[in-house]
Amino acid sequence: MKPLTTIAIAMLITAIATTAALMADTLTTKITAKTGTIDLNLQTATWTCGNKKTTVTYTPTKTGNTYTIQINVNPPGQSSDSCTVYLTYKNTGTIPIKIYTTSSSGNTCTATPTTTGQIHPGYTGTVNVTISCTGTCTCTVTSTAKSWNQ
Amino acid sequence: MKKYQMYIFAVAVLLVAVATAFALWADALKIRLEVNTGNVDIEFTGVPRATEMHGTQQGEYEGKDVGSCTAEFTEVQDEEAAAAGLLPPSWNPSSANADKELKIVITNAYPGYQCKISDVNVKNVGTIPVKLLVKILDKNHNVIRPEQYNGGFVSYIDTDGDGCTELDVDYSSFFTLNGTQLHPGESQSFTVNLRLPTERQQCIAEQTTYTFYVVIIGYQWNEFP
Repeated sequence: MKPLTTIAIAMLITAIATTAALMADTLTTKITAKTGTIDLNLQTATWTCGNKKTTVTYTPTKTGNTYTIQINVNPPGQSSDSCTVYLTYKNTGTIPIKIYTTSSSGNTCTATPTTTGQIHPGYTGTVNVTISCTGTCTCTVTSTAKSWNQ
Repeated sequence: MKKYQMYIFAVAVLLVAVATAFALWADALKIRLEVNTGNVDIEFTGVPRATEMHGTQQGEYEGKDVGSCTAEFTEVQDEEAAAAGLLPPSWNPSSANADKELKIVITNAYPGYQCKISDVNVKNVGTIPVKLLVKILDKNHNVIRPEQYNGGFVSYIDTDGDGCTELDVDYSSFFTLNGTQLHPGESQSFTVNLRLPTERQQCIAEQTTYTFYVVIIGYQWNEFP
């Protein structure tokens, strides 16, 4: 009986050890984070000039969250004139934005404000671009939307 | 008495003697071994609370209501698959099937958005002491190793495997469960602090869903790896 008892105890210990190795339990936390969007859309571009015969044309190009707008001002007969172009942007994203605007260098082209206030989704903001020309001139304006908290 | 009757009598006596001897010689001793094992079982308890933060302040930046963050206990369909790769092949997953999981959903997030989940506990509802081990898995169930700074308070993780870390999981939150021992009936609270770091905004894409898992494994205390 003694060898049999030894074998039985050995088998029992093995069984317990095997069972112990299997004992575990898990808890899972699943986390999903969906980001919103930053986007803007040029709604309107209007202008006023000192001379009603001055012609103004503009060409907008959009890349990502940035608009690059080339504005051409052509006063009649190579005369001098000053125009203000009103660029109205709409926040078409899902989070509040601020619009950062730069203009081509030189005193003839100035954009204000360079940073708008907060524009909430669905709302609009306007950037004024003042251009002073003698003869035909071109102004390039770049407006970029960024999250309001940056 | 006739001679044949004496033979019969002698044979009968012999049979009785043999039967008696056999009964003595064939006696058996039985050992009955009965082992009742305990069980390792942990579960979430508490009522999870999601709080939006900016820095150490409650609420979103400038008090706005832009993003949202929710947390609840629910059945996560693929949680067994997520955890399976972390355990020995012979592990019996049946013990975990009935557990509710913690599901955290953040929507309309942006660089700088931060959410803290609190009032959650891990409780040992089994009969054997357990030690806890925490692992972070990406959406494909691969283990993520956080990129840690400031003593772990900032721990960036890359959940989409593009080599760019887009989320910060505060190492001082659920990682504190690592190595914690819970006796039967005991529980340990923890938090989940999640942030979309502005300093890593180049890694955060718009209109994108980032998914990852935090798996808490309860091992019987003497088998903790």
